[in-house]
Amino acid sequence: MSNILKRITHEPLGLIGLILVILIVASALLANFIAPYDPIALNILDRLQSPSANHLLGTDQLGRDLFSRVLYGGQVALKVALISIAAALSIGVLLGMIAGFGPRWLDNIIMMFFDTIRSFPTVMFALATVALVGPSLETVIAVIIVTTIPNYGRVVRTQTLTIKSNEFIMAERAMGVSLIRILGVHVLPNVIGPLIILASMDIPTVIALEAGLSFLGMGVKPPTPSWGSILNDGYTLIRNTPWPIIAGSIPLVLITLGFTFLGESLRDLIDPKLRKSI
Amino acid sequence: MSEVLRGENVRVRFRVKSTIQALLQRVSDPYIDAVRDVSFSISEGETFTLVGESGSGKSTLALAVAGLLPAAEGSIRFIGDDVTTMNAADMQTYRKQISFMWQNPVGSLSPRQSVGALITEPYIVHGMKKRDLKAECTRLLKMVGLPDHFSERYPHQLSGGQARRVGVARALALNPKLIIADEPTAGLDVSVQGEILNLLNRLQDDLGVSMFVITHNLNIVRHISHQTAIMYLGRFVEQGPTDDIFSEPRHPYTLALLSANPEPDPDAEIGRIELKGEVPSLMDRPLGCEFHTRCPFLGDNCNSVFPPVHTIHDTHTLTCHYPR
Amino acid sequence: MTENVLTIRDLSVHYHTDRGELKAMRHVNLDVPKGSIVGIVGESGCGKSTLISAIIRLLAENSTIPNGVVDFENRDLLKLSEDEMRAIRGDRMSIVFQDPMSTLNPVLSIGRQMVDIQYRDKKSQTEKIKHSTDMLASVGIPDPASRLKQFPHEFSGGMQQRISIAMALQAQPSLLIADEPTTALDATLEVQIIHLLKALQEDIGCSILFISHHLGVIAELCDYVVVMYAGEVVEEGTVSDVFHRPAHPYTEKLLQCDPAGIATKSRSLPTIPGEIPDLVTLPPGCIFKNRCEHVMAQCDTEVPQWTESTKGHFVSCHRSLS
Repeated sequence: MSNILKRITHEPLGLIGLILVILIVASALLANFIAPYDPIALNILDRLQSPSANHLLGTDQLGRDLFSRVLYGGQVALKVALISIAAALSIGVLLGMIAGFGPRWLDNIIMMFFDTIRSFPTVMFALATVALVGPSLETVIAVIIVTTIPNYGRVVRTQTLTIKSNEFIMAERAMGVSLIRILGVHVLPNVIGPLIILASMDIPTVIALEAGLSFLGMGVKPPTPSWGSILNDGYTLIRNTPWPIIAGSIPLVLITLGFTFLGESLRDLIDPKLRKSI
Repeated sequence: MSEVLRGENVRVRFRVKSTIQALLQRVSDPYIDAVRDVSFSISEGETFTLVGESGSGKSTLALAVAGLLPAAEGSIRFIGDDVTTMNAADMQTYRKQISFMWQNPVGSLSPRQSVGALITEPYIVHGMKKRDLKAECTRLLKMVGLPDHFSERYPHQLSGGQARRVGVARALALNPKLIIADEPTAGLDVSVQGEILNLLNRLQDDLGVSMFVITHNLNIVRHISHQTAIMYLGRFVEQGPTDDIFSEPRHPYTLALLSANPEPDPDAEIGRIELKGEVPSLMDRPLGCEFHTRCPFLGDNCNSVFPPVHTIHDTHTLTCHYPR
Repeated sequence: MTENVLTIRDLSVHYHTDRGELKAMRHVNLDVPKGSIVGIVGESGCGKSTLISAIIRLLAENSTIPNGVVDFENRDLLKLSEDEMRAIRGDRMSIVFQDPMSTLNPVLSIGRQMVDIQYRDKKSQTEKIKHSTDMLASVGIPDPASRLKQFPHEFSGGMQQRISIAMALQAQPSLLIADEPTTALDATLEVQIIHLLKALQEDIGCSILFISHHLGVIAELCDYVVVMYAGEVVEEGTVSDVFHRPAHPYTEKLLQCDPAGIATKSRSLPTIPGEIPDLVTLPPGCIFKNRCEHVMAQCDTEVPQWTESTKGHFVSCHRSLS
């Protein structure tokens, strides 16, 4: 681990990525302490102000401090990203391993399930679900989980299929090792590698998805701040002041760049390591 | 010496055509026999070597002995119990008493597990977690001549020879009565082949373990094996005490194999017996003697009548019309 | 004195690695006389692959050649441009590898591949097909005309290797490099391929550089043999000289260890204890010193010179000088 950190910091992009990610995550986690204002506190008199010493990013149409809203919005973004990706990973990996290792008919069923989900455009799926169930953070998370499972599941399945025919798996079976142990101890550690990278590249995607849904009014309910809802508010005010839009966009851009740089340099690290050095 | 393993008329089949394919291609039998009518006996503390080239069925037989492939006919008795008809519980018990050493030394070791974890896994799998695993690990490493700190290494950090030793250590964990070794010297340099063979011999002398060795390298057979069988197209064409087979080889295929391994002596008489053609497909077994398509000593009825079994001395037998 | 088709003098190859400079090959000398078969014997890590890659100039990117000359038909291959090298590869010099599937393209028919590589010839398509058919016949593929249409996977391993040999010899090169061509084949197939190579070599008159760790095959097939250890050539001479009167301790031990040479049954076979030294932090003196039975004080400090101990028999060892 420390070796990996060391190598990332040697790549300029990796370093920038790491810094950005740490910055944003820290600011979100510490929002309670560093936010100068209560993000939902109304103050109509101060509405639509430009950035100033009092309000670093200005205020929105209800006089709420944008900087504080952005910080708290980070909490929403991270919560959505972490919960949904963690859940999608767990379920996806489990299903993928079962599909890869188990009998053909089970593989076919699981793949049908995956393919069905993937045939829906994600946003349409989300809108349909939200229309049925009503907008909320929980709905957004559930939708993201369901639509992300097939991505991880497919990758794990392919990896499992490759590993299945390896001699060490035969060796384990010959020793009388149970299926569960084979999957958990011998297959899982060998398939999880590419997934880490995939998952880290997915974080900005998921955050953007949540922002998009919230922007459409299908996600987080007001007055909870989410970067998407900040953008939504700002969209209607764009002729009055650009600051809400800018406030909502900055964190999205930064976190996307951050995780992308980080994820790419992680991927570059893993690949050359696999190349045998003489 | 008591008998540890006895195979009787073992047959292992694979299905190669689906029912529809068989119908369309007018193939009467959608199965191929990878192993056909094979019988053998291994005593305690003895090594039985199976010699054959690719496609001879030797690995298939080894997998059947290990219980990883079913036998269509015949029996494989391990100290009286038939492996081919064991239920799951008996199979687990069986697996405690045998081990398998695989052909690919590094590839047969789970890549993300340390050597220590790999060697002691049999204990965990068979419910012996209470044992002092660290002590067992040290004991096993010592048996195979590897220093203690190797327990922290990972398979990709091992050389071929070291990985083979780890394979031996793992095979010894539960004090097996029988070790099945698939090509124990494959991929090893000549200068280190001796190490692994000497180790196996020493362990056999010390622990009395029986061994079922598969190899295509005739050169090593003489030094480790008590009984040998030569396999071709799934059958034993000649079998018996190793010394007899090497001093009085009678089957043309045995003779060809022996002559195919020349000494490193440029002036040596090259009585090379060159075999014609290639090994026939298992789907198209030749009529009569299955070796006749390549035999340099073809005689009458070799291509029509299946040859009888000749006995040279009581356990040295071969299947040939005209033994040399 | 027969002319050489290939003369290598003082060739060294280094690789840049994370841990430092790996001196994979050091001051290698090699002679391949015209029309002869030269064997290279060595175990893992001896530098065989590096040697071949250096000769055909397809070394990895992190390599350098600090010194050496590779004289092939009176041209130093190390000084040629990539275009000039490409003109030579496959035409004047060709290779057969251990794994025939690494030579053969699985998605093209044999015929297509064999005709494609004749692109340098100005012959007509019909003539090229005929030439390929003849080549297949000469390597013992039955019914060659119809088999040209088949794909590599339709042939067995032994046949695939024959096809690779046919492809390599199609252009009648002056040098065929065979990198462990029979290692993956069964013993009985190996015999066939060896006889085939011998016959073809006499027919075409090319030279063969035959790399193998199978001592018996080298003894039977080759005229000369070169023994490599940890990146150096330690001995060179006729097969008779080297196998009967090995001058280098490593060669001696290697011959002793070969189970094929051990006629009497033995429960305890000889081995060469120890391991190859680290080629990044190269120890001073002789490279074999840590595993040699005859090691002397001199071996620790001086690298032994390449000397001619008897006519045509070269060795790099302090013992032979004293």
